[in-house]
Amino acid sequence: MIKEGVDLFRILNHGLIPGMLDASERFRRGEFFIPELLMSSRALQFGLNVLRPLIQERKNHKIAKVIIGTVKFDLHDIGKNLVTILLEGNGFEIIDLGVDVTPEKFVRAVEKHEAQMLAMSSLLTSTMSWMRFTIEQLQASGLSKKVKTLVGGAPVTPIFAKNIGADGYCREATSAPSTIRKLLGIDEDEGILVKQ
Amino acid sequence: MKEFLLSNRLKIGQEAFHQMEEFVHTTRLPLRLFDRKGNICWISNYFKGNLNFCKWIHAQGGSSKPCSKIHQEALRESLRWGEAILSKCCYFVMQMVSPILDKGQSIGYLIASPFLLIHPSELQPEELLALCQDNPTRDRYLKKAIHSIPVLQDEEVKEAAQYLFRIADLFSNPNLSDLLKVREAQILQGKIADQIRDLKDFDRELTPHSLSKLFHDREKEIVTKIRLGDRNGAKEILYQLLAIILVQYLENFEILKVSILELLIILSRAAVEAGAKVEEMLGLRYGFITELSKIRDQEELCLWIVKVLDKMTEQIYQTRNAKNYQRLKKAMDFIEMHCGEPLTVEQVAQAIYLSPSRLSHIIKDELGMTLIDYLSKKRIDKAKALLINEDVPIAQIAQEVGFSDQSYFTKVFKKIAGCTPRAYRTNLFQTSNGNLSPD
Repeated sequence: MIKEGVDLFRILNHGLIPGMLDASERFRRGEFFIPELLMSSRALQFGLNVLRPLIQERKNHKIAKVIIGTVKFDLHDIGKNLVTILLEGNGFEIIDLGVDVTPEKFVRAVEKHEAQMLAMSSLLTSTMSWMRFTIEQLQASGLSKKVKTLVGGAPVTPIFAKNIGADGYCREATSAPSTIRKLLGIDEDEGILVKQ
Repeated sequence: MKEFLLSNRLKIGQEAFHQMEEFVHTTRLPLRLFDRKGNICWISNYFKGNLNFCKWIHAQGGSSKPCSKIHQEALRESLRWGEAILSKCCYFVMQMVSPILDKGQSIGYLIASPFLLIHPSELQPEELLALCQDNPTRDRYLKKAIHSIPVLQDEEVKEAAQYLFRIADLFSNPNLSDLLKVREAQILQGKIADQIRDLKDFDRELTPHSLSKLFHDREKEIVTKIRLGDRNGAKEILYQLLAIILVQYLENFEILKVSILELLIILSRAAVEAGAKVEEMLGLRYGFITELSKIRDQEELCLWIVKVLDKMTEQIYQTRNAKNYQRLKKAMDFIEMHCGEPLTVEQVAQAIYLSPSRLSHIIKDELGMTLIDYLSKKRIDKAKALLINEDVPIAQIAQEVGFSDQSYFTKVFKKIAGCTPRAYRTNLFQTSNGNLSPD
């Protein structure tokens, strides 16, 4: 497909990512078990291995640094991983802290990498409060002026996002890139891999 | 065979060895038993041979992370999820881990590995190269080593994971019930999160007004389900109710508790309506309220109210004459399946091995109507559904729901639905399309 001149961004957004979204949706509905999910993510990884160097080649600069992770006690990272891939494809530089990330770890990473964006996800109502704690820590450390926060995950609602003082909220993984652009005031086209 | 001391408190004896051998035999998986500190206590034959993958990997200088570290990580996950955990152990090779507990503390663990989910021939060249660290001379040994690893199908993996957990349960003292509780809580939280997601799809704004309206609708539904004795249906709606409550009061535990208390009252009232004895329900409710006051966190609160629903539906079943209820259920199932045929009381009675008069009595007692009335109602319900399809002639519908005579069908339909089938169909299309000429 690449040889045929199909746009990289198209391969990513219309091929690899919908496939993975479908797999994770089936997993949620109980049609897929872990082995199937691992297979899908393996296929995705292969695809990315091909795309990644090409994406990096074409991009002159990273448009913004994003710290991402699931909050403390939360181990569900399918959604977070999808967001990571989407953001990478959209020209963001990602620092993925993985799962079960403490507020301290988030804040330290923001400070160390001088990130503009902190994205957190939680898939359980019982771990959602850790988003609030993280934002509170961020405020206490005085970093909250330099970095914007974004929250997402199945049980996270816009009301909750507002209540905890998050700057942004995403309903689904696919809306993350545009939401972050809006929050950071980045031009729509910047960083996107346009068709040659 | 000697006994192994896994901790001061727990010995793994003869029976345990037998169990592990049995596991290896049935699943084809290599198995190892470790103590708390990661010392090997028992290994299956796979590791005793010369040609084994782990040995080969070690000879190569191992993977980037030491095995013990990978095991410990998987063990932690397993403790958190409350089940046997499947994860990658190195590169594309898989492992399966289950903890062994003594009074809630981890004293050891079982690891079934290595195994593959894909046949070695399907592996990509780059995956293999990564393994031999770009040194092709190692390739030959590598192939042999990889082919020594068992390949499992998805179904086999599922079964093996359950099996491994069962063995770990046997080795644990008293068992892994604490872990099961963790899993139960995780599953419930997952279900509630799903409901919240659906809620967000259903109503983007989620205003307090729309939420309270939705809550009242669901409240009515759960009462109906409890009365019908539809346990699973009631549970499903309970998850929705919990989602609505949590969306609003997640961070205010006191209000959350009050909402759950409200829910408790709704449930117990529905249970009484469904036939549970009032005095017993009051006693039960008193116990519940005492329990509720002791709950300290949201997760526990959700688990608790689901248990309450279980206990209440249990109570209903006990009060209703259980034997009669079983027979009634059978009769209703039979009618459901055969109501398109001309049915008589005798036929239904014969199908469930009762005399016609006994059956009539039970139905009258439990449903408050005669069998013929019930049968007619079922048939007319079916007819209503068929009337939605405009192309089917009414004579044919009458036949399909078990009436040989169309005028008799019209008469019965009018008695139950309040109008003739034709008027019903016309009305249906007028309300749905807004403009339709009567045929």
